Amino acid sequence: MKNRSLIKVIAVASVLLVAGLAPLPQRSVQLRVGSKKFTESVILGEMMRLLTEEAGLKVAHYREFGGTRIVFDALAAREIDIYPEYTGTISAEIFAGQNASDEKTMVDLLHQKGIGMSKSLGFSDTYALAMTRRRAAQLGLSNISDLKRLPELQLALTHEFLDRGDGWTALKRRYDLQQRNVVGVDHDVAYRQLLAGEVDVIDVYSTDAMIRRGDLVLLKDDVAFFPRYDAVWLYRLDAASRYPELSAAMQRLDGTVSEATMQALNDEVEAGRKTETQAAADFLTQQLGLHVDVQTTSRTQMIARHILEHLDLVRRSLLPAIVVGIALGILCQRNPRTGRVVLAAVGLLQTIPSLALLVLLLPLVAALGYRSIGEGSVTAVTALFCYCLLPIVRNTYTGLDGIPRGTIESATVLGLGRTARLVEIELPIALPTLLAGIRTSAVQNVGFATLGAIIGAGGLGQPILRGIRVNDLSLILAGAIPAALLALLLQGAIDVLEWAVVPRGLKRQADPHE
Amino acid sequence: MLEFRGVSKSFGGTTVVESLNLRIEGGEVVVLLGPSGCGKTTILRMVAGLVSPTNGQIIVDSIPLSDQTMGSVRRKLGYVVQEGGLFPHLTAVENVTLMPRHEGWPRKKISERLAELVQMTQFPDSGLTRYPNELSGGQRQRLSLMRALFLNPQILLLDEPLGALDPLIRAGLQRDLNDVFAKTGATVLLVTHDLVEAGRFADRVCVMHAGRIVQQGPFGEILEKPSDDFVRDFVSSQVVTA
Repeated sequence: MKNRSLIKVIAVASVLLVAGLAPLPQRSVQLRVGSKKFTESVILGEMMRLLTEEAGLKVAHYREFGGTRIVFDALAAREIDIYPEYTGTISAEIFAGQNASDEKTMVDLLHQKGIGMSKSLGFSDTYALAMTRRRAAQLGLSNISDLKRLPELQLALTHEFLDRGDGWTALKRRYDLQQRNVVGVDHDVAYRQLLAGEVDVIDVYSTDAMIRRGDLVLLKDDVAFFPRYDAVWLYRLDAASRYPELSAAMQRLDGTVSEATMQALNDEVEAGRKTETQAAADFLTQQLGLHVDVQTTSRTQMIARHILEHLDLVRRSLLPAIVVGIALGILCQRNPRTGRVVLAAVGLLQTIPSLALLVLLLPLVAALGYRSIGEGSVTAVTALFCYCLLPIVRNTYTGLDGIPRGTIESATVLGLGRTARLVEIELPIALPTLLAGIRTSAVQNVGFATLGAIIGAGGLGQPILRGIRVNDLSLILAGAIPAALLALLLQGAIDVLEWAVVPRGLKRQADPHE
Repeated sequence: MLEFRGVSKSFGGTTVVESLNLRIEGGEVVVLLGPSGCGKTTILRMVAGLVSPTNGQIIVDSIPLSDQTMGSVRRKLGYVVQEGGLFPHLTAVENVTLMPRHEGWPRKKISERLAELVQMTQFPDSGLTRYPNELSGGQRQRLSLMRALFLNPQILLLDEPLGALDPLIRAGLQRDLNDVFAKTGATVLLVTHDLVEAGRFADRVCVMHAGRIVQQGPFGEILEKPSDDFVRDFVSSQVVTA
């Protein structure tokens, strides 16, 4: 009787924590394939998935979850077992500054990390600088060294190319270029800007479908700056010895993909004629005579699955954040000095750009032995959890702090102890403010959760990312609209909850009767 | 019985109450009268244990007040803060019966006591299921009083109980409060800045100025024989306006 309110508070907190932390049954996976965030990598990843699945393995493909650094680190950390890479990238970027230009050194360095490198898939996908044919002719440009004459040209380069050891900085030094107007953008955006005539030069991969489609010319690497970028598989040696099917699959693909084939496959996907899966399956049928059953999921099914993934991200981050946030809010109010530190810290978390927070958390989560990428990623959940905290902590604090002194003192003199006063008087009075904080967090969270797709955590960000990559507005909307509706729905649900649990006495427009 | 022995209170170098010596007998109604800032509310808050004296001792029913005795002393106290201090999320009944429910009183005993208090404070039955923000100012004060009286306190502390009420309601509540004081036989320490109010309630009035009691005695004596200029000015200013 005496502690009924306390029991209620503890019960609610426990239910939230259990509901938030309970793992969903994950399907068991034997092999994890990864891919980088561009079409070619995803198609190759799908080829590997289909081949190994056909051989009887249970395979997951973490699609397009990052650039070279993130994907390679995931392989080194055993988060994935295999992904497609390029030799030039291995020597010039992954092992930059370690003189890994010859194959033997490269293989040795990889072995030290428990990683193997397959033979070439059959094509090389080198970096190149590209212009529209018209613009190049107009300016009379054909070699990279010609750029020296025109320091005013507008360049849009991918972030990865700007940062890489074999990227812009080294290229600029090697060719002694003076270009000043360089912006960093996403690959797909750069391509669109180039066609629109907003920029003059972009970086491309030589197998990019857009080269043919957009009638682009590649500037000749006349001092042979770029290394060879032969497409190979990087895989975990232990996975290969555990699953002979993996080595067999790599062997079957040896030398089978020509540059022209790869460009055609890329083109089919980016023109929207096929999904990556279909392109990969058709290739396997033609090249290896393999009949692959591609489960065609309708767009509705696809969105439904992403909605469920999205809700799972929200559930696992928001529910624990409610408990922790309220606890921190109480602490802040009880102990103003600690409170200032906590509020500042939580506020600071909010200011870390989401992308940076995700990347900062990746190695941390991996080091703690949790799944850092892919479905069930703890990284995405942790980042979302951090973003959820501020509104909840701040509103809990404000709600508690705004209770009139007379009310608190009455409770004290009546004989309620600190805990009883908190659970029976203070928290219930602060409830409307508290719920407002939770509502803000929930709505923000649904939006932020789309970023989970960046590290392969799924959710409605996935169709948005794909839509951006293959330039498909309907796909972008198919992710963005359900996300917006989800946010509205969640807000509505909390409004209903508020209506149900907040007593009339705390609602603003109660009309006084005499 | 409530006794102050050389009680002082200062906040960061400012003395608010200065060596207060006062003894209040069981059942006596004492009014602390004075302008705002004279230290009268601080005295109430010290008895309630919300602030502790810088010097001196407060003795409640022969128990000296300290952190250790606070729990048992509070059981003897009923405290009505300015504006009532009601719990906005609870209905009138829930406000009043919070403590007995917390103490595990049987339901029958609670409803009997409630009926008794509703009668005594003249609280309207229809208001019992309402929330504080649905009650009038006078009803809120009666409710606050009921809550303070529920566990049968020996000492009742009231801070400006007629506060911001309009004159008609004041008169009614004043009469009912006097009834309650008589019926419960509690020792009452009441704080006000209103001369008329002090006159209606007090067995003894203590006029306070700058942390000290400057004059104490029956109301009539204060009116007729002010002990110094301050009391004379304070009294005459309010007699003129009243």
